Amino acid sequence: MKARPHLPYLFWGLGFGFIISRAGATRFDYIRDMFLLRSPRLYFVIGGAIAVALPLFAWLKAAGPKGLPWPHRRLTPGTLPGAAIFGVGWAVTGTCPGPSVVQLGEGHFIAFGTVAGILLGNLIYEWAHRRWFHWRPDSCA
Amino acid sequence: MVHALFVESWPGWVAGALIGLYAVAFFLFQRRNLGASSSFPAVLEAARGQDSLDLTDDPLRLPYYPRDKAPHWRLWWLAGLLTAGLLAWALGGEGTGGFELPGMGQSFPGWPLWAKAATLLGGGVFIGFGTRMSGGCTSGHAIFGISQRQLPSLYATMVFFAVGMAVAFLWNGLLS
Repeated sequence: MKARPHLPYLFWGLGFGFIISRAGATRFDYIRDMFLLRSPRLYFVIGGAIAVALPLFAWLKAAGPKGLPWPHRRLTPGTLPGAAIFGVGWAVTGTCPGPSVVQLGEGHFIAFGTVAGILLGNLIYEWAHRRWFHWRPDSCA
Repeated sequence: MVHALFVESWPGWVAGALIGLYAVAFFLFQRRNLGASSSFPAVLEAARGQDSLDLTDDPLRLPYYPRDKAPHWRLWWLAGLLTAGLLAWALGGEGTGGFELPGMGQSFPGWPLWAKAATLLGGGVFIGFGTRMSGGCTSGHAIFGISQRQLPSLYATMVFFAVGMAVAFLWNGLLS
């Protein structure tokens, strides 16, 4: 069985990273101004993304090719508490997971702290999940 | 033109529309759903040499999922993000360059550098723990999830926005 090539993903990552960089989603000050309702900018970014993707996904589902991996997300006992914990980290660091890595590339080396923290948080969660949580995890899509 | 494309921040709705198109194109051409937060467990897996499970379906290596044909794709995608940041920096993009994040001074007035870095580390732990527990972040839940009409993603998005706002207003009132 021939493995699917990886190289295209480098370019997909490059595209996503550059868009979110120019969207301003990698900026600490923009994220803070979004949460403090000082600037509608990032609401336009997220809202614009959903406004474009939602009808296109609906159209793909109705008329697109068969066999696309449509997700069936379940609400697990962790979905909402986890979202709340993520919300705390998002507001404190001014960063969500994708932008943290782009920030590193942009030369903001303090973002090593955020990236290391996210990895550490993943490790702690794995341990905690095995130790205490027994539900089947849903995944990041 | 070049300046507007590569240096300035784009208008929010333009960047948003591009992200929407990107999401649909990625789903159609790569036949995967994307979520940035799942790249981080992929790094951990690769570091341990456990690289053959599809983290798309199973961030915790439960045994009943099929093997992936391109196990390292998330690492390559992550490398693309890093390269994109470097590119934006090299092109002199607004908000790039400088050890700290732009605007941090206002939220951490007079804090020593180590304290700011430690705060980011601590916040990062919340991000890592929370996204794994919740099964997604801004990309997986808010962009892909809501656009594909996944109700759990809509609820999760409402929760992380509400909590983020509460924490930001508290921080702003108490510390800065």
